Amino acid sequence: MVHAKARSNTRVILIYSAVAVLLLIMVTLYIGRGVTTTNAAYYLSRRLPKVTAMILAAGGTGIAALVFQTVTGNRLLTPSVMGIDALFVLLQTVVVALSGAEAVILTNPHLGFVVSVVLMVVFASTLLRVLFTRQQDGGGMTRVLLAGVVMGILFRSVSGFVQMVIDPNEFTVVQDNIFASVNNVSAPVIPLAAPIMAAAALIIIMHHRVLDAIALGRDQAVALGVNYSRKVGLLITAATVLVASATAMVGPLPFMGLVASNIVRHSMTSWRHRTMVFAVTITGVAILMGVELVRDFTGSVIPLGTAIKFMGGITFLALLLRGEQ
Amino acid sequence: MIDIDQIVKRYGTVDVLKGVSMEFRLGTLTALIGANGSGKSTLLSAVGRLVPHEDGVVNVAGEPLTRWDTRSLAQRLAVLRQSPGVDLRLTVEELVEFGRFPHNKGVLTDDDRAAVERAIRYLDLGAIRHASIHTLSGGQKQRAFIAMVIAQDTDYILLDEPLNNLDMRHAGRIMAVLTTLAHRDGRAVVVVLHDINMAAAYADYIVALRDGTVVHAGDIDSTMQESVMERVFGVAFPVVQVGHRPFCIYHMAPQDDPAAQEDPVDRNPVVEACC
Repeated sequence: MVHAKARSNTRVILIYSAVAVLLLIMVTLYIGRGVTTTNAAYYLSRRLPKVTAMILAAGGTGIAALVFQTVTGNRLLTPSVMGIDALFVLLQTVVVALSGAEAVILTNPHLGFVVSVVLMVVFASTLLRVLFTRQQDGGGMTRVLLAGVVMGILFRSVSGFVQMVIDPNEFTVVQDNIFASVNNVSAPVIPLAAPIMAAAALIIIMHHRVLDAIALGRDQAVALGVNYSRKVGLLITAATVLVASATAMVGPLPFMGLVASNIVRHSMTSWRHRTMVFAVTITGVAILMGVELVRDFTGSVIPLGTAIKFMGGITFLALLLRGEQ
Repeated sequence: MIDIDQIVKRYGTVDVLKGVSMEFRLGTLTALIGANGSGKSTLLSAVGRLVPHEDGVVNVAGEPLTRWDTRSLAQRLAVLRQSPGVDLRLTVEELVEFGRFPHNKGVLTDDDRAAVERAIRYLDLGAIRHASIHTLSGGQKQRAFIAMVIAQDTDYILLDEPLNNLDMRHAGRIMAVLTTLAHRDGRAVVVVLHDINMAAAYADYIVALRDGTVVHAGDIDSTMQESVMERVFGVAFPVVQVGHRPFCIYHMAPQDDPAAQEDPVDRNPVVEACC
């Protein structure tokens, strides 16, 4: 039995390494396609930020989903289920409605990014910390989940209402901002987002053993000396920073984190977060890159978010139907 | 020593513990007994800082619980709730290794491995050490969790119904191991037990709770009395002497059977033909 497990683990790690190599090739393909000495400067200035944004957004969303699931002990819970995407849409809508399409928060990419990220992080981490730390017995998680879902519905209906009443031209601006796209990523945001996201990811990676203990459940973690409310608060905040930055950069990517983390949890025999964080980053990037490449080569007009939702839905259904092995 | 002074635990408006005081000394095995809902599990969880208490003081090694850093406390006190579950696909050995987490934060040293080996041997888990937890039976799982607690190697060991799901052989073996840990290694072991005969056979002291208060605390002979048992459990049953130990024959308690006092339920009602 030891050997069986060791062998299958090696196999899975091999597969992930192969995917990583494949990704490298894909990235090279993507960046290098049609580049000649004369157009290199232009092509690279367009494509490098795009690829960087894809890696940051996909990796960040995947890691954030993994952390959320471990902390909540629920494999279906991700920041986007908790209404973070809906909050982003609401923010964009309200800003346009209140100050018009020319609002400085929309035209200045740095300011827009910082304001969106700060608001999303403050909202989500406050809500989650309050819910997590106040309710320490069994009913807690159901309440967190319910609160998040209800909050998401509220945000969506308020956004929907505001979008109905604003000027149609302004509505087009809103629509541009709330659809996920790696083409609208403004290059100046990346040097701002990259270090923030790297720091948040580093905090999570440094806590990989604490995450392993938290995965045993709250009581076990406390009994093993984990300062539960402090560590959970920190990890949730770091995960929120990741997903908020990703959303502010490329737009909402619902399903993305859910699918990436569940593919990892299903395919890996390892439960250690050291391995899973690595795998979920690769899986996330592979999904986003794959979908984007297919769209690019086929000249598809389907929006990125929709394509991911479609593909993610099918993958997720397949995972559910296949069940635990 | 763990010194509990007038501890109160409230869920909503219900006082589950109404000012309970007791102490657990190093070198002894104490059994907590009582009917369902008497507060014994809550007491164990409160002493193990798994649930906060509203009033009163719990001193562990002379220091109030609230002043302990949770990791330092985990190096001195281990607590296991009733029938813990785990959703991870880890092996028995990997679970037991978690017991070393408070000491090493997850990186195993040679000392840690020795403690893990000892715990696996004590709990007779050698044959299934590489088996995945989620493939095990309830009793095997229970033993794996107890091994984790023993690998934690603490002065204070608190276990909530450790004999749940266990067969007779393993139940006896675990009680024997716990007795050795208390008497030979000088630890304070506290177990919530359902079977009072197990308590009578292995414990040094028995504390009996009812409705959130201590109704009796003392050694085996003073506790295993028909009058005490009736006060604790609300039913009268004979206590006999088997060898040198008192033995409760609770299976023969006179029962009031509400089902027998009712009129029989007609399970085949005649359906009256209509039309």
